[in-house]
Amino acid sequence: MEGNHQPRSGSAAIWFLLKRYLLSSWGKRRRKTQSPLGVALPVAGIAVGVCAFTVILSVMGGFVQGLKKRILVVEPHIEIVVREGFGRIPAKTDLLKQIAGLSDQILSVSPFIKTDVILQSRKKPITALLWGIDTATADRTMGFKSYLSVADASLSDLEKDVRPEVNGKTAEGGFPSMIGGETLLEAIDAELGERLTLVSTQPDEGLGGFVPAQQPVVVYSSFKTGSVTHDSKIIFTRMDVAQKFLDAEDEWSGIQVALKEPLEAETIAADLSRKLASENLRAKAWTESNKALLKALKLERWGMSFVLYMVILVGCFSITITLVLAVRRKAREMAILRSLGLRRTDLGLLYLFKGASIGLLGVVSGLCAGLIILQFVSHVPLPLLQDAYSGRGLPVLISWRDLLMVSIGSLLLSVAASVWPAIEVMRIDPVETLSDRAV
Amino acid sequence: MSQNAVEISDLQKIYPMGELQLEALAGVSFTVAAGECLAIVGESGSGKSTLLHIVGALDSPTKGQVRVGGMNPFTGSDREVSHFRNRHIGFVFQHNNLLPEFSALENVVMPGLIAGGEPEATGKRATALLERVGLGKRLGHFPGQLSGGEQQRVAIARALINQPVLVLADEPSGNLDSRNAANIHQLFAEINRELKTTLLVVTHNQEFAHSLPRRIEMRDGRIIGDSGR
Ligand SMILES: Nc1ncnc2c1ncn2[C@@H]1O[C@H](COP(=O)(O)OP(=O)(O)OP(=O)(O)O)[C@@H](O)[C@H]1O
Ligand SMILES: [Mg+2]
Repeated sequence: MEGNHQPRSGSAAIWFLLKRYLLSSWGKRRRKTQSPLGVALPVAGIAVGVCAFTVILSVMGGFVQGLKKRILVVEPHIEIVVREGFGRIPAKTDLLKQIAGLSDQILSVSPFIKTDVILQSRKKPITALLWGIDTATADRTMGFKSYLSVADASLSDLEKDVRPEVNGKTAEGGFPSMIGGETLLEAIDAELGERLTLVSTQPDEGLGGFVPAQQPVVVYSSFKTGSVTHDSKIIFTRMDVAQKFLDAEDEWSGIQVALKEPLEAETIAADLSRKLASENLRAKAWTESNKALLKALKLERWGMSFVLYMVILVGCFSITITLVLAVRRKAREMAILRSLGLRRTDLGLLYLFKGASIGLLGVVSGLCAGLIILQFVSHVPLPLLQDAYSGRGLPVLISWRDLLMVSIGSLLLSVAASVWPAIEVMRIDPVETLSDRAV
Repeated sequence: MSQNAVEISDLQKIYPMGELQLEALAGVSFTVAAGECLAIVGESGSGKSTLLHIVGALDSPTKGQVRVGGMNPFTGSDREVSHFRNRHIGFVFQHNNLLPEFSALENVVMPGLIAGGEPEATGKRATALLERVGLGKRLGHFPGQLSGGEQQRVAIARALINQPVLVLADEPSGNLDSRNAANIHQLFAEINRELKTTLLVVTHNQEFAHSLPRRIEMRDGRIIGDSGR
């Protein structure tokens, strides 16, 4: 076409229209036909979804983080064990040095021996998991010193032989000390200072036939980490006690490794495994031992995210409704704009932008509300939760990555929700709409 | 360039109506010289609005040629046709021309913004035009605060903002009482005289039609009288 010099830019006009159409429902010039709820409802819908997402996932994150912390109180970040089966490795201090030098992520290493035992009190027996630890180094691979029931106790106290107390009186003779999970000790009514017996689950082919190995120990302290699986299962003695009990004097079950970044354990473990393959050893991250639990938590997070995305999706549906109604109501105005030279695609863009603006308003207000609520719950103790989190607010872990994802996701959904109204507005036939036949 | 603002030859617009075909325009030809002021009259359903929409590139013909200011408005994409309407055509419809959320001034500025014009200069031009149509004191008023006659005058100012080749008005006084209608008619005559803008006005008002230099009368999609030739 002649006379068409340069493509004009209608962006100023679109911006002007967009601003006015978004704000007009609130201003003094509000027309009776137009309810201010038209824009407010979808904004509120998306805001509620984004707010719920922010709050719920952050509180869940805080809970999971607390749980992981409790697991890591007892469990080392990584265990170096034999590659296949349940064999043991020869106790060589050279190996410790070698492993410690494998990665600069490694803070410290400590050998251990681990076996199932029966723990026998005067009243009843219970199965337990015995960890023989190197008291000199274990404090640095397991951080549960502050969870011990006896004040000032530490893992190095396991070095002591102590005399059992009987009816409040110290008895004759000393036995190796032991630290056990509080729930476990409660289950067999064992008291501090009481003498217990470790009984092997493997029959011993000694002179006397099939008599299981036995080892008397004295309860020195209990521990409570809050992780039920550990508190009801684990007991500690010093290394040589467990070795002798197992008749494995020069062997370890494996080596504990403490990392700078416990959450990176999986990748570091993979790296260590590769480096140790020739030694017939492998590195087992703490996440591997707690796979089922962590997987369940992850699944829960996924499920919750999905539900909350659905809430946001429903909010987006109301964008579609609002915009479709707006297109119908404003058909004549849109036809007038076309007669003034606004392009079909400009009208479509106008409605896409309108949907995106509603989405943006919803996301921003939802994020703000959510973060304010999080501030509140993380600082103010809730009476309902006094048992679990007495005197403190809820633990909260905000995942900015997730919040960014949900913000972008909501915006994309808002734009997607405006596609149909945009198509409708582009389909308006100005001639049909302007002639009074079409009513 | 030719001296003609509008050249139309053998224009047809056919609406298929099932078996039958409805000929809204059945071969219309005429030319309008630049600066001319032309009334189109005819009974209802004779095809006046259809003709106006096609000349303004809002609708496309089934057959025939249209040239406005030497340009053929139908050969381009929506982008080009929209550009053509924006720069070279000013429309005034019978009623509800204005965007209710925008003030009189903003309504007049709108085609200038669409054209990508500089807002300040466009605003000045719009103010001058509104003063010219007698609404200098109503710049900030919204359509809901203006009378029907005032609204039509805003629409006329808006049609002129981009200095178009051609202003097309479809019964611009159809919804007004006789006094307001007369004012609008007078305004059209003055604009045509002062700005030399070519005007095509569809009207049922005989008095107005006869006051204009040239009249085209239509019936059943055909021209049955042209006072200019
Ligand atoms: N989309 C359409 N489909 C079918 N017929 C149509 C359509 N648009 C217009 N027509 C017919 O075309 C003819 C001309 O219509 P037009 O609107 O141009 O008449 P008019 O001269 O403007 O009448 P009025 O004075 O009442 O406005 C009419 O018979 C009308 O019914
Ligand atoms: Mg008509």
